[in-house]
Amino acid sequence: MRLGFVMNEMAQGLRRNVSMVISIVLVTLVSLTFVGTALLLQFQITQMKSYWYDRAQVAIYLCTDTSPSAACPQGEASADVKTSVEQRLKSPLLKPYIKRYYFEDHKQAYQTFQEQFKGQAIAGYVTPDQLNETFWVKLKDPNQSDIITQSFNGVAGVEEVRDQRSYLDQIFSILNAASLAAIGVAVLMLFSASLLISTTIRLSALSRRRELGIMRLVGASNFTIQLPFILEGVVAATIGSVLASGAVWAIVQFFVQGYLAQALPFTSFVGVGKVAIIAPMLIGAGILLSAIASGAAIRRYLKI
Amino acid sequence: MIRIDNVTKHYRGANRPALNGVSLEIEKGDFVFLVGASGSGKSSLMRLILREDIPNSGSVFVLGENLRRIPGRRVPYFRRKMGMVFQDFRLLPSKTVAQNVAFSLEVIGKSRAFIQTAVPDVLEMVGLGHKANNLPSELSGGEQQRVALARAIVNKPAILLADEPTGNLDPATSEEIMRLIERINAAGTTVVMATHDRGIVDRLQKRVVVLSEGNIISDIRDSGYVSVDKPTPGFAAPETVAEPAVAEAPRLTETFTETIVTSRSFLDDVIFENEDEK
Repeated sequence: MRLGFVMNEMAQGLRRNVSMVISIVLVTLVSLTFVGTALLLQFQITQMKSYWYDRAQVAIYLCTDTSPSAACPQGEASADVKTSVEQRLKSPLLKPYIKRYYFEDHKQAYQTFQEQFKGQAIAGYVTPDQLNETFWVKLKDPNQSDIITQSFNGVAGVEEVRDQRSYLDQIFSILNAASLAAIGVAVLMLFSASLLISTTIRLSALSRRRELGIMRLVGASNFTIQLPFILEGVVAATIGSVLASGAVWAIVQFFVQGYLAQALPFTSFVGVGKVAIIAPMLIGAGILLSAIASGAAIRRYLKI
Repeated sequence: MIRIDNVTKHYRGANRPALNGVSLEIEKGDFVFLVGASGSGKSSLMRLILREDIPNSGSVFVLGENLRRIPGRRVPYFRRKMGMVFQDFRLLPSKTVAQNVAFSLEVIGKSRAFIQTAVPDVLEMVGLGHKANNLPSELSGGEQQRVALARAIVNKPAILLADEPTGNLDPATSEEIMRLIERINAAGTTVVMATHDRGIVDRLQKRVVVLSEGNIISDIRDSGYVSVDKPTPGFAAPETVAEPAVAEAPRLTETFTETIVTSRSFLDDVIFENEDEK
């Protein structure tokens, strides 16, 4: 088999079908950009998880006079309650799991609250005694928060034990859903891209059926007959996936780093480096998909 | 070289078999005419020899290969030992004469050096050396058929199959083509040619196999055209064939009507048969 011959046949096919080739390029561009965005979101979630989970703590909220009476029948937690909670945190049972803990009284809680809600109406209504006194516990392994929760839940004078990660998990599940939605759209688009590729290749084969007939007649091997058509689909899809990689790069460079990172300076966002991981995946997926689609399309012309 | 043993081929949807228990043996170097009306089974037989089709029963041996058993991936290599020409030439209109011939070598992976010597040689042999760079549309019908012959023999096949090669040509041009095919045969290539042209069959006096409704009803060496238009009971078995008929005056007109009827393209069948069945 001669390479020059195969390349020449492929180039002819691409020239004859320019508009269809452009549509393949566009569909793969759009669908793989979706795939790339979904991957970016996953990277973003992983990155935010490792950042925030590292800082997340378990809060042991003590009762106040305004706490709901179901959890706190005795009202404001007494000094005894505070001592017993602290002793329990120091006990040999819990100590090995805890990295450090600190106590936040009404006054400190009020200061933090005023900072967080600065300028908002609620900051004016809240009084220090309404805010819980809290033991903030930092665990050695954030996944073991159940130990603290189980030890202090239902203890007299403790209103609630709360793992901060449960708030974060809500955010992450929203991001995750967005990423899944992007993948869903991408799968649909990839499906239509592969149908488009096989239709195009079939048309290309149809327009060259004289050549195909003669090739079969004189005994060209199936591989020689197939290859120009498969390469035709692969070349078009590769152009599309390279453009999609460029689009993903542009999203990271101009939207994430250029806009989001400026707007939300305390959040860590994915960098351009991640594109170096995503781009080969997109190009690989484009090549694989188009090779399979065009190979399947041309197969029925090869029955002997 | 070619051995066909009790072969039956039934196409789906047809009410009678295209070939009905046909047996035929063709030796190396033979020149065989297949004659018979349209639908008599000539093309079906050629398709079986080229392994375009597989018989429903019986066996086909060509060049030592059992074509019922040969695996699909070996079929292309088998076909490289066969040459084939058609009534409608089957040239690629966008390629020049030389490119048309070279194409058949390129696709089977012959080296550039081989192509550069083989193509001018074969074009010289068919007498078209001076038209190597013309497009098929610039050639006469006879010249186009010579290009097709050049393409069929450039890879030195053991067998040349010709499906009505003179069907679209005037008598004088047909003579030229037949002289060329005779030369190819004289060089050792086995020739199997389906034809309606009585004049040619009568003049060449080669082996004539007559097919009618899927049966071989006559197989005579060194013969002229055998009349099969109204088969008599005596034609039922090949052994009882009487003396070959000699050319008669009104036959030429029949020849032309039959030719027009058989215009459905062989190769289009080859390409689209699978789709038609689905």
